[in-house]
Amino acid sequence: MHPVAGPDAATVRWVVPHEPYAFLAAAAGHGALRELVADGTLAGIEALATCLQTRLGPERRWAAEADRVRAAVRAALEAQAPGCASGPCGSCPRSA
Amino acid sequence: MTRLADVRSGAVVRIEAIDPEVAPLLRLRLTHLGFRPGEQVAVVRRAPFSGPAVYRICDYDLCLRQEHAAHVIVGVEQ
Amino acid sequence: MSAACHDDPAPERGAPTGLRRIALIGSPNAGKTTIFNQLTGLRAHTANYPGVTVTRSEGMAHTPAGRVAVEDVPGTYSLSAMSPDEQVVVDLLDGTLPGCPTPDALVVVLDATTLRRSLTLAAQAMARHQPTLVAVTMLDEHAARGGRLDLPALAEALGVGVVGVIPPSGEGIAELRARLDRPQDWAEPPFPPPADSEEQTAWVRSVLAAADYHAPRPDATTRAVDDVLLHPLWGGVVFVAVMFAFFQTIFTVAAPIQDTLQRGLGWLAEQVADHVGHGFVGAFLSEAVIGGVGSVLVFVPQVALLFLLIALLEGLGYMARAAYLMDRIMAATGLDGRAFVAMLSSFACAVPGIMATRTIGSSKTRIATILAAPLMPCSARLPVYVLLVGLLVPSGTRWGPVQAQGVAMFALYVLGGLSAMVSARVLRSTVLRGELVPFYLEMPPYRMPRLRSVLLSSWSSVRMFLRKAGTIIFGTAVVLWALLAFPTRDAETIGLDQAHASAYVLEHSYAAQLGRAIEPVFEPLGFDWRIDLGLVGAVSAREVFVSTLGQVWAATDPEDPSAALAEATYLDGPRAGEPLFSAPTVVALLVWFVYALQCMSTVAVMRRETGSWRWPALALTYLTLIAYAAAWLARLITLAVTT
Repeated sequence: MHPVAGPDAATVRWVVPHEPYAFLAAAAGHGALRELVADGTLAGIEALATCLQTRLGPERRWAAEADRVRAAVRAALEAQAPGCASGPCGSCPRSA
Repeated sequence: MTRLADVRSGAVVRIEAIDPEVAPLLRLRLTHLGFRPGEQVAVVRRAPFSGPAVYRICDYDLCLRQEHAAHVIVGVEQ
Repeated sequence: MSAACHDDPAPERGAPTGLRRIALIGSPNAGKTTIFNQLTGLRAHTANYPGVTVTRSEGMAHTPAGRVAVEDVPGTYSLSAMSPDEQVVVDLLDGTLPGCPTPDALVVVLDATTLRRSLTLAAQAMARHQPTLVAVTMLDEHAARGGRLDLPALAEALGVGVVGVIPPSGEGIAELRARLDRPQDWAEPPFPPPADSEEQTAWVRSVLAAADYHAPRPDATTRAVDDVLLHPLWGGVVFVAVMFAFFQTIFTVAAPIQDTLQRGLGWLAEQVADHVGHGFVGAFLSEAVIGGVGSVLVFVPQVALLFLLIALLEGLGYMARAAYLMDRIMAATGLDGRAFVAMLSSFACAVPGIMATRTIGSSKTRIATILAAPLMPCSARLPVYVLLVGLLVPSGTRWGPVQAQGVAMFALYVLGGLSAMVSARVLRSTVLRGELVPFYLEMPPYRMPRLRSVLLSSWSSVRMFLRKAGTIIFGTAVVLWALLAFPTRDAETIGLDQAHASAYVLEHSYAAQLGRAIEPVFEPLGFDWRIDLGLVGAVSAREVFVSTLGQVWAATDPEDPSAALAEATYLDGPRAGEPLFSAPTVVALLVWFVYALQCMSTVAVMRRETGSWRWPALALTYLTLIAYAAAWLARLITLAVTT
């Protein structure tokens, strides 16, 4: 996965190549990500066609929160399919 | 545990890890050269008398001495 | 630019403060220097980074809005430094390098065919909180080998601007120039890529997937050629052939050029003699100035040809193969394959050989190579060897099927070469022990080098040689001329003919006094003051030994000084009347020349390349001591064998 700037400064899209929407939607509900919403780090998480879109909570900066959010997104993806977030693309059995 | 230095010429293997006992800077350098867990490496040719070998890693050919290739832990031949 | 940043303050070069500075970073072989050359043209100059042996190239590039200063940072695979030399690059980017301003923006040059490896470098660069732009090269080669890459998608995935550059056609350079104007407008990602290497690897894979990256096939031609060139047997054969052709070219092709130059200078000297006369000014001009220039010019054809051939072989990609083939042998001496190129260059002249050590990453290996390089038999030793071997072995003598003289010459070359290897080994085991930097070398695909790049890179080396070595050689030649020409003995030489007069002046000059003063030192070796005078002369350049001896014995026999030389006898002292150039003395002299570091330009270049006087002083000391001891031992052995 890799982060890409979203439509506004507070939004970052975590692009996960080769994964279907359903997969991303399931990941969006993962505990680690829900925790970040709960403590105010993120204002919202949304699964889109190729990415997970995260919006920063109020008074937060990406420079400070990036690592935590990244770790949580990674955990969410790995929970769905171990090795998905780190293996070379092509090693994951579901990729095209 | 197979080391890259012991893989025969012509073989293709997948990297499992870099020896954790290796000095951190050297580890990082090998990583930046392309020796990363999950990457495929092919032994293109070996020089006689334990000279350096040419490996194909991350789409390029690299000549590396045996003593450094010994730090790379690899899986079975593919 | 403060003096700490450049060895030679040259206010008209180097960027005036206030100009935007762009640093070009990227792996070696990525085409970074080609981009640098295209951006800056001939408006570039090289120097050293303060305190280390790393070269720095800087130039000015024209942009639509004005100019920017572009710095070609040494090629690197990683910004995690493993040695002081690599640390310099990091310090430069950090802005902590004394006297060198922080770059305002970074351009990361990435080779499209090795993107899977090099994106980690981009990740490290992007973590520096400076405006960053990516220039992707070799797109044509990438496509030709079946690779795919969506540049706009790559830009989006990275979060920074991406420009595709195809140097041969100049495509992309114009766009790059335009972008250099406004780094403040460059795209930047919301936060830098992960620093942890595992996360970084995952990031790289994800970005490449999003950019629809398909790796190119290995280059079939390169693979096929390497199967021969790197074959344990055939590779060695080709290698020897290439080396042979190399040396043949340098010695035989350069010779006619040198002759032409010498004739031209001779004509010039005649003109001076005709129009300015033989008085003091005339003599100064024709002998010192033109003679001094001659001493420099004698090197230039060989040095230029050498640099050209090396640049060509390097551009083709063959040098990496040579380093691979030689690495096992070089490892035995404590050096590595890359030191081989430097040693190779030293066969023509140690000065460019020492400059060629810039490609060696490890400082200790580099310094050891620099200190051992003067032992490689250089072309300046050739006329000395020819003269002395001629005195030792009558021409025409054969040992079986081979010329005895040829065997002697070969033996001298082998002695020099082996001594260089041994000395490197000793240095690497004692004073310059160990270092963490591993030896690795990329084997790039064989590429047809651009003529312009080859010429530019050899020209910059030749220019450096001319500036540094040229001034030293010229300077010492002039000083030497003065020492040999003064005091003018006008009173005592009245009535003597030209040859006798100049011989008289020579034998009573300051240089001769110096020769007599050091005579006791060299007496155990069998040298008399006239030979010592030659040694003094050789300080500026070794071949001056031959011409100095020629001048001394021209007095005895102006028509055939070499015959006079052969029959020379000791003038006084315990051996008066005995032949001067007896076998033991000649052998001692030969061995002295094999080892002695007599060349001031070499010392000067050592100082410049190592950044301190400590190493040249060490070299001078150890080489002089070895030369003396070896010459003495050789004399002893020869005496024992011949009596």
